[in-house]
Amino acid sequence: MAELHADARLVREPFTDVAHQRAAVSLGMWVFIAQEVLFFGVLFVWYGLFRAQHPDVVAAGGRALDVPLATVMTVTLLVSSFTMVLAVRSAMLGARRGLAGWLAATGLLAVAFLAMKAWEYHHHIAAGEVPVVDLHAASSVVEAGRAQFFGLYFVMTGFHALHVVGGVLVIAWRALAAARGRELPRWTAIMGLGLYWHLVDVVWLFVFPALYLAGHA
Amino acid sequence: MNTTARTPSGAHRFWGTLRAWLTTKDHKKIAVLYLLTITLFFVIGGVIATIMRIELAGPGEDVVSAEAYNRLFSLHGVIMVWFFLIPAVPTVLGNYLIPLMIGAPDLAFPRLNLASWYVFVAGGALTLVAMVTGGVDTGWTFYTPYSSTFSQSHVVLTVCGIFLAGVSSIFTGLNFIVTIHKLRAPGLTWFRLPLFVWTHYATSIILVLATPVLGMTLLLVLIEHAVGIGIFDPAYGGDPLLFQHFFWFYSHPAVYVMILPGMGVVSEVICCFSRRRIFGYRFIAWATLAIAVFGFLVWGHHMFVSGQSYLASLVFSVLSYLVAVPSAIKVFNWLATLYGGAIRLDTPMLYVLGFIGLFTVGGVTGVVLATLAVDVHLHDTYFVVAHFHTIMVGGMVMAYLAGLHFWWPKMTGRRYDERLGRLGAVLVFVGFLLTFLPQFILGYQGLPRRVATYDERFHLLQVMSSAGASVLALGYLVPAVALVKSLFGKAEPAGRNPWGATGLEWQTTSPPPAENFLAQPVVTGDAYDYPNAPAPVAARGGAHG
Amino acid sequence: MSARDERREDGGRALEPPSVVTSLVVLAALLALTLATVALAYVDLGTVGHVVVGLAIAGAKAGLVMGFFMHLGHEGRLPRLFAGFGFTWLAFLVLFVVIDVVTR
Repeated sequence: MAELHADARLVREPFTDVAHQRAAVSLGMWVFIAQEVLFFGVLFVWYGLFRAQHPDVVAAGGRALDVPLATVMTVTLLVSSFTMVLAVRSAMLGARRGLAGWLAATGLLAVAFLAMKAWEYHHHIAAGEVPVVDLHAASSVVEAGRAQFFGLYFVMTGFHALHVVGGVLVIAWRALAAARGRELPRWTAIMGLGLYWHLVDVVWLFVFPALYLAGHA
Repeated sequence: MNTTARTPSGAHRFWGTLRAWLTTKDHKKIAVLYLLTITLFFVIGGVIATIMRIELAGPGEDVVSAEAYNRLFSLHGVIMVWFFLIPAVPTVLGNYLIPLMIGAPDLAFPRLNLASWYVFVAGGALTLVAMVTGGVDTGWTFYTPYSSTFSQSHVVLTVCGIFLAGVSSIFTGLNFIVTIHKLRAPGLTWFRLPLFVWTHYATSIILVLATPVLGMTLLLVLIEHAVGIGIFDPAYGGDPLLFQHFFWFYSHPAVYVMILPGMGVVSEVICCFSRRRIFGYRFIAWATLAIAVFGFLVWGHHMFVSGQSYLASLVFSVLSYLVAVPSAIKVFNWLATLYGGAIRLDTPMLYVLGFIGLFTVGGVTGVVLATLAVDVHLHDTYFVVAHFHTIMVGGMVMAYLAGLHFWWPKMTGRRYDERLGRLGAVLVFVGFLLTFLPQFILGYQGLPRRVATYDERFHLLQVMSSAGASVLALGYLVPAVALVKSLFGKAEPAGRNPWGATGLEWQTTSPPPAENFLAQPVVTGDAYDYPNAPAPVAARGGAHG
Repeated sequence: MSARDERREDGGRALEPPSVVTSLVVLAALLALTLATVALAYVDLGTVGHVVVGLAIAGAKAGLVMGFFMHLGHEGRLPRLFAGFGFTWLAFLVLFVVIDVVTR
């Protein structure tokens, strides 16, 4: 088994040693994750209520979405989670180049996800599949329902995409620091970043079936 | 650094000091930054309340228009709730004291602590910009669809300000949770912790689990307002009751965010000034956690007349009664602590005795309001206003002032004028009663809240309430004078432990050094060993009984 | 209190770098579950059936990510407790909204 990078310089006030710092960072991140669960939870309650009341609208909306593309997006995020695990591993082992490389891979996969998302948004907006309900212009109940579904779609995927953007920025900053710097970044910080990134993945794992897989059978 | 090496000019020194304060990671200095910020918001919210009470002294639209009045009560609520009541005790007293009480050099994440202050200031600044450019007229509750579709006021800006205040709350709560779990001194087990720390732990749990729901809900209001997506507005296919569920899922527990830290202050002060161990330590500790958890399961009692289902109302009503049980446990334990104690009526103790009485009145009227049938009559009347102001002003603000006076010598190293302090406590108590007791009667008689004008028959009680508000305003000036005065001139040095209190914070110097303790303290006993505590040191200003 | 050190508490192996082999196996399982959920979406299971299957597979995937990638399996009690808090409190929100909406 490779040696853990446990240099005393990695420890920051007010912690006494690496194990102490790791336990605190991990707890802090899980507290943060708990609040993210409730933050996104609000959207899922809205979604659930809407789907229970208008199952046909959600089914019709789901059929308007691009399942193959979304499947590729899911795979992209899952693989990026795996590369993030390798980045954390590199940091724990004190492998600077490995850390920079795996972070860069994670960041590139995240950018690919965002590119697909942007293409998808562009496609829907061009097709007139927008969330804004203009009651005077809506020619039918179906049209109003579609607008409502796309309200759900844009808000849920939008908040997720914002989290991806935030992650990409921090990943890029850490990757550059690892590639340039002489000193290794604290691996506990990379572990925290990893926890955040996996959380973004977990949220998508629920968004994907909720929106894209509704109403295909 | 360089500026101190050379002989610095006055201006140079000023900017150097300012920079040191604005980049500090010391929890004690951040607490002082919060103290200044929060005091500013309290003054703004208080000035708005004053204008409202002046308007209400006469039955017509005498001083401000009905439209302006809508904006006044909305801003009063927004500023007082999110920029004073929720942050005040945790970010000032909690921030300063938790590391000291658990024998730690700082909070777990000092930079996050500083970031929380900046985010808070940014949120406050947005809200103030919204205020001076016309304000918001939705009430602090932002009920949809009025807020999301119809209001022409600054909903977007205010909502962004509150969202940032929420982010700041989450940062603080997260920091406290990790600190209390991970940085306690050797020997400081959970049941040796001061109850102040327990209450802040429970508060932090609420902050972390409730605030994100408010944050997302306000963002959804903002999205509906700005883009027109149908979420809460029935005209666009939304559900307005869903907004109320989300809003009160946060805002009811938030009430406990306001009061629980105050209960922590009360537990500390009451032991010190009756020279006794707290009665039923474990009952109070568990009751604190019980309030935090049960507080999440009662939010629907704000929605009895909203169109919520009868079954849901029934369930929420019954659960609301249950919250009264742990609250009552605390009050009984405080009273039992006083029993047979050597009670000294210094300023903090005066505030705390006021707290116990007023909290009980506020709590019992809360049970009245949780009764389904009665609430139909009292909903949205002055009875509700009087009820929650009794908890918030009579409870939380008095506990905050008690704590500020109690730990002021520790924070500044100086003692304040005890006679002025006591005068302030008495004025606040009398002013409070005169302001809000008439409002209970007004509400029972059916006067609706949030309206600038009223029927002639309510005039006398409204004038009494406004008169009381002026006494209350004077009451708030006195402690401000007493505390600020202690900072200037030849004030009396406090020493390490002027009150003869137990607790680690009293073992270090006043004010404590940057690292809090020169040697790591070790704890060997319970938090309230008053039988073996040092004797209090009498202040020059006042005689002790 | 016992000798358990709350400051450094973990599940015993939190200081070991994550294993590449285990992570690969987890990734493979996640990809397989993704294909399964997409395939099942095109089978007629009824609306309720689709919701149950979709949620169950998403839950299993989230469990894998949290248990291994987020090393919850190697953590002590506290991170697990707070992970549980998030979902429990969400359940509170769902429960009471459902009580209202179903009986409204």
